[in-house]
Amino acid sequence: MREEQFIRAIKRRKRKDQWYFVFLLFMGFLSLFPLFSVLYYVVSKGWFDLFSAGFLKPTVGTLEMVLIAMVFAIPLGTGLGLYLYESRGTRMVTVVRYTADLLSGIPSILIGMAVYAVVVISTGTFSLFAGSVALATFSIPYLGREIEDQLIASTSAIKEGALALGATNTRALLQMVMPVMTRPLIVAILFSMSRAMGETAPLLFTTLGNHFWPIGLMSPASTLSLQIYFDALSPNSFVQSQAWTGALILIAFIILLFLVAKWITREESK
Amino acid sequence: MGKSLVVESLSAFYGKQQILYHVSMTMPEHQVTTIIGPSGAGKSTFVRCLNRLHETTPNARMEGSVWLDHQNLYELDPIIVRRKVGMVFQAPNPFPTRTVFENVAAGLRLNGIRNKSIISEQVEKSLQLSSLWDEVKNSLHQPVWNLTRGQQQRLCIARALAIEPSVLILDEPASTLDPLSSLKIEELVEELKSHYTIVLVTHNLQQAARVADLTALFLDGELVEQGSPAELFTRPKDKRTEDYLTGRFG
Repeated sequence: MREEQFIRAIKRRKRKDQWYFVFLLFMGFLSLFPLFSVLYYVVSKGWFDLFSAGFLKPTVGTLEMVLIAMVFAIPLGTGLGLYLYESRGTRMVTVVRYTADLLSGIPSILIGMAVYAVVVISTGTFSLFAGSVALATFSIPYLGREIEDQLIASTSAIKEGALALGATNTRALLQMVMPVMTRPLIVAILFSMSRAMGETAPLLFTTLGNHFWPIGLMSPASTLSLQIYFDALSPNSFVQSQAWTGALILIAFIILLFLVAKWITREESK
Repeated sequence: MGKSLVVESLSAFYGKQQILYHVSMTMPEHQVTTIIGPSGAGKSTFVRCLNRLHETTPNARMEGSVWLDHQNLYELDPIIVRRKVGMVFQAPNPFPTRTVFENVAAGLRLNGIRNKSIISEQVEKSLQLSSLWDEVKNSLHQPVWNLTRGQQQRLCIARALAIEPSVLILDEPASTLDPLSSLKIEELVEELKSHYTIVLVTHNLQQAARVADLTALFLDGELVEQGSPAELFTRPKDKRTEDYLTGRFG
């Protein structure tokens, strides 16, 4: 090939490369557009009412409900993850893993109906507690699978190292493997909290919503997601605008959880 | 102190797949036995049967017997077996959340030793044995990720030595290391054989020839030939050994 031909070919390829870069940039913006438009809308329509006392009840309700859900979900999810990891290869584990995947993928409104049938009817009341049970129900399989994946990915060599020193299985797991799992575990918990915070459908059947402060855990309560849902349905435009403020608070919490998770994983990769 | 290890008709399986076929061999005390062979020949599975780590894999099982000093290891508690038969793995696997000191002490603590002076004495002795002491004596309480990979591997050797096993298994300990670190491990093996019975799995035929007192060749789950490296490398009895050594397969 002659020198000039060669140079022309390189120029052509460079131009192609530039066009491709512009295309990728465009696709990048396109995928960010929905996120930023949602953020813009929520902030512009919701910010002015942000500090009114009316949002204290649903905010406290959401936090209480998610924290109580986590009290159930963290030990049970961790136990599930350890079981799946420890007994892998058996037929029972295959069944349990499949069921867990199904449960975490099931439409959450169905979980709401199931918890209605089990908790609401048996306790005789809609309640914050019933909502927590619903949120825990789909957080447990999510956490369990996440923990199993992390255990397989990052700790098999460490566990074998401990076993080769004459550790019992339990001690290898608790003393050597679990300390390594702390960060991935926290990240998985943060993600499942952020998912639980936004859930509305299962709470309609279980927590109902409440305009007043709930009397303890066994009474109906308000959460941000329920408040957004009911306020947005209102014909009154002032009440409608409150839905935007609720959405702003909810998004702020979720972004906060993501940032913390991001920060933890960044420390890890150093 | 080192004791000889005798394997009788050992077969190993993963599920229905058979990995090892009736392997019988003796690994004499205070000698280095090297195990060579192509990938997938069953070398790792073989050594993992010696400390009963094989059975911790789901669906894995074995047949046959392994004798250490007239004791059948398969009649003992696996925990006790692993205290007698120490192991170092292919890739360095120090406990990442522990310090250098705590890594070496881990085996002692796991085995219920609490006395601080015994532990620190044993940690120093093990680090001396693995010739890492001079490099880490001023950073004993630093995190392990400050060490190079070669140092991490010698730390894993120290960790295995700390509980004073009779046998030390090294499963391709230098295969992920640079040549200099690899050479250090090799020198270490030479020194350690006065204290331990050593079983070394390696891909590196030169390494096998340099350090071995006895070499065994595995192919497709069978022990093809064993003998002194001088014999095996220069006058192989089996046609397959010759083919392997001259690079005709594997």
